[in-house]
Amino acid sequence: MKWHKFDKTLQKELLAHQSEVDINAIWAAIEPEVDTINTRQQHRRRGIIWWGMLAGLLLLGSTWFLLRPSATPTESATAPPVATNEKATTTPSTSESKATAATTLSIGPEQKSTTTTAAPEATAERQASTDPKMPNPAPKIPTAAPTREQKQGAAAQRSGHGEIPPVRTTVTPEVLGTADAAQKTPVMAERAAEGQESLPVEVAEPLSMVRPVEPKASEPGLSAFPGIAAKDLNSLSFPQLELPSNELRPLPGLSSRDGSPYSLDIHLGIAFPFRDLSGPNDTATTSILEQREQTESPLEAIQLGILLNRQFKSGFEISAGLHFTRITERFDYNTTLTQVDSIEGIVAYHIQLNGDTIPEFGQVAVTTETMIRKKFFNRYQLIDIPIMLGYRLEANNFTLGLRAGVMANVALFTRGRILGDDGLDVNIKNSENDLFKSNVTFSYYVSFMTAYEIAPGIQLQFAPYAHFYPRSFTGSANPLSQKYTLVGLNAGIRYQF
Amino acid sequence: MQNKQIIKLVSEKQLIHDCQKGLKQSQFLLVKRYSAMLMTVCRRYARDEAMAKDVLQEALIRIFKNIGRYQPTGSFEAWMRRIAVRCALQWLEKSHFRREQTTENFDDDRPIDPAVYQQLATENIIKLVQELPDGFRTVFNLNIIEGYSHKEIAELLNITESSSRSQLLRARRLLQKKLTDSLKVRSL
Repeated sequence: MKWHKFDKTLQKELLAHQSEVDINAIWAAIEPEVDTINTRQQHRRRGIIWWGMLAGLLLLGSTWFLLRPSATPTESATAPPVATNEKATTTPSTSESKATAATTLSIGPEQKSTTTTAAPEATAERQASTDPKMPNPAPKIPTAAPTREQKQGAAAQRSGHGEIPPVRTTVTPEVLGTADAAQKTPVMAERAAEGQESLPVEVAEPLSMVRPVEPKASEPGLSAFPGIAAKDLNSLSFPQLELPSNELRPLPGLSSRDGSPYSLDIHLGIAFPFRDLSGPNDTATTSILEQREQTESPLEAIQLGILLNRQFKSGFEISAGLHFTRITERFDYNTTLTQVDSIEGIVAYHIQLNGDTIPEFGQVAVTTETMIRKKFFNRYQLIDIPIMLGYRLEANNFTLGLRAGVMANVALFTRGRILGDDGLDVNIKNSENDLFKSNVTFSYYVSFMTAYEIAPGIQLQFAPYAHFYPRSFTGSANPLSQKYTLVGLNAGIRYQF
Repeated sequence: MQNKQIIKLVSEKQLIHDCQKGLKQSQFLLVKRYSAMLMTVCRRYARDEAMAKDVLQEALIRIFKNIGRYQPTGSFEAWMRRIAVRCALQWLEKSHFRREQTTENFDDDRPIDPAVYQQLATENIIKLVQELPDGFRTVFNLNIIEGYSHKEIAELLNITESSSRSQLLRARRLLQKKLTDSLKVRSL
């Protein structure tokens, strides 16, 4: 406790003490480091913005991926069954309900001109299967090794006796050449054997196994199934086919181009403006350039556009329309004012010999330090006419595309304030002075587009883009050159007429 | 200024906010406003004026680097002071922290009346504190001025608590001796 008073006195003295410091020298010493810190912080902030945008894109992409419809199940064993032709079916109803095996034979559009005869044996079997007097045997599957049961069934059929497994064969109109030529012709043969084990076998008849058969002159149009008599064919009737929509989807690249070639895009986007401020390498310009770099910071750019597109079957498209861009920057005008006022006060004390104290009154200088802060949001608004060339790849409901072009500037409107040559803030309205141009002639635009068809003829689009302004925005009264590059993301809707 | 301007004095909160955004004017204002206080802290820990200046610069840079993390729950000055103290300690550590053992004898360890010290200017007291050996000075500053406990000092300097206590006692005695000597010189 004996040191308590000693400690307290020293603490009080030392804590309250303010040392003399040469502020300017200290600031000069740390200024470069402070600049570096500020630049790093700016980069970090930009990094956060860009990573955020990237994360947003990834999220969109993931959502798109998860919500997209499943792929067309052309080869899936679990594919929904194709409508059956009741007249061609000879399978007893009891075995139909117990059908456990199904064989799908897919024939591509290129096989339309050929017969589906795989081998003489198979042809004979098909002929037999179409004969109403005979029960239908199981079709011969050339690409898969026949199972034991199949072999037994076939042998029994050839010998004309034995138990023939009940089989249902479905023949679609496309095979018979009576339906409109479609790209995909499924033939479904279901095999159901009561009490007999059978496995589903999925095959596609290879082209190498297909050989053309000359059509018989007496039975034109029945080259695919020579065993079917014309009179039998006439008696056949085909119910309306009801296929799942995803099975009838046109091939990639055809979906939207089958309709009108014209479409309309409306998009809205946000971007980060990268500003390039430069000027002649003289002291005055460098000074104002540095001050402007310090006091102004680009915030964001928004874009709004409408485009009319003409699409060609090759995938290319040309677009033209109207585009509005607004670049926003913040100008922080900060300055410190030191005001020295004189007030009446005691300037000195005179202590007389007898100990009396006499104050001397006079003018005392009082220094007031004030900081002036002004914040402006400068806006550069551009109206452009875009002329674009694009290429689109379509698959199912999804579209990927690239678009690039030139934007002819119609007008540039500027509003706000910047730091002038004399250190004061000046108005930048281009209708009032020549600090900024009223037209920046042209700019370049490039975007990568992803789109999803949300409804027939309506696509939701997302397009990361870059927009380059090669010409300076500044006018004759401004010694600096001010150019922009915008990098951002557009989102919009495309409507196909 | 030509235009009518909104003039307002910058509050500490506003100053911190502007510095967090990286406004250079505000950073300069912060240096201007708090350098004197921080310099006192640095001088107490440093061996000499040159080292104090170096520590101050380092502390200011560290303040600007970390100002984004400052939470306005405590005093801003205290937060800056802590940074300056840590900077000074690191600086001392880098420049071979010296834990001298004084060989002087302290015959009379009774504290003298603190009123006597008021005859000395604070500047002189700081100079006398600077003259203390590094170890004594550091423990004295941390405990007496900053209010750190011996446990905290022990953790901070990687010494034992008892070592901290003994160094503090020695620092007190030595400083008292220096103060008394200084007063004697002045009275002559």
